[in-house]
Amino acid sequence: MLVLSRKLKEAIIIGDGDEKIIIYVVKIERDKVKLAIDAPVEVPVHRKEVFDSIKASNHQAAIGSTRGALPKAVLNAARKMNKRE
Amino acid sequence: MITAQNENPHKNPMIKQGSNHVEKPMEWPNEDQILSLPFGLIGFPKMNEIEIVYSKEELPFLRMRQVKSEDKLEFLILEPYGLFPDYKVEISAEDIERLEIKSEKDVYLLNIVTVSSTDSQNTKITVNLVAPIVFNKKTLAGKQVIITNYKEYSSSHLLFSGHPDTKEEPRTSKEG
Repeated sequence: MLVLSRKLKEAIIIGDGDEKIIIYVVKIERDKVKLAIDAPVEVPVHRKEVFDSIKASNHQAAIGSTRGALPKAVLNAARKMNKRE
Repeated sequence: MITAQNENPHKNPMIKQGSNHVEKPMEWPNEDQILSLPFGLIGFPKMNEIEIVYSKEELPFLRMRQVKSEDKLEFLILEPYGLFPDYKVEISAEDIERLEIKSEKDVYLLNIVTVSSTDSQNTKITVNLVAPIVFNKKTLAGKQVIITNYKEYSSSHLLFSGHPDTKEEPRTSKEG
């Protein structure tokens, strides 16, 4: 892994073609660094811990390829939820 | 800011139905319409083309299915409209640009459901309110978006917990 030192208002560039990502150090205070990220629109930028939790949630949610019937407990839960509405 | 307070969430629902003929639960999309997720789902980058289907007995759950692929992944999803009337979603300018959203009216939200336990004594079902799938009804394209107000919601918001079988299947003796 590449490790770089940067001062306030300095930046790094990722990529050297047309599709560059530029990350600026905008603010430094105690244990917090504020970054500004300039990335192409097709490159989503996420906070890693939030991204990881959503990825884990999606993996848990995926039903897979069986396309079978839902477990009876889930169908009964659905019925109860419908009644509540 | 986009809210789940859709004016007429079920007025003109159009969606492919499963086994039973029922009033369609969704106002959108149209039957047999294939929707695109150019970015896939988070962790499933190849979930790019999907259809949304349902059957009456599974409501309020809908199924989001991968099409045109060998994998045929499937997710349970639901419309937040009605279930979470106070659900407010803030979407970044970048995501609005990616989805080419011009008006709030063009936005349609769906949330992914997780069944984490199907134990008949303690079924647990949660819904991800942090990362809805945001569709642009005009382009038929969507993206799973991590909302900018993610701190206000849970990715595993409790939807159902408890004993779903109690009334339907009375038990005379406990198992085990």
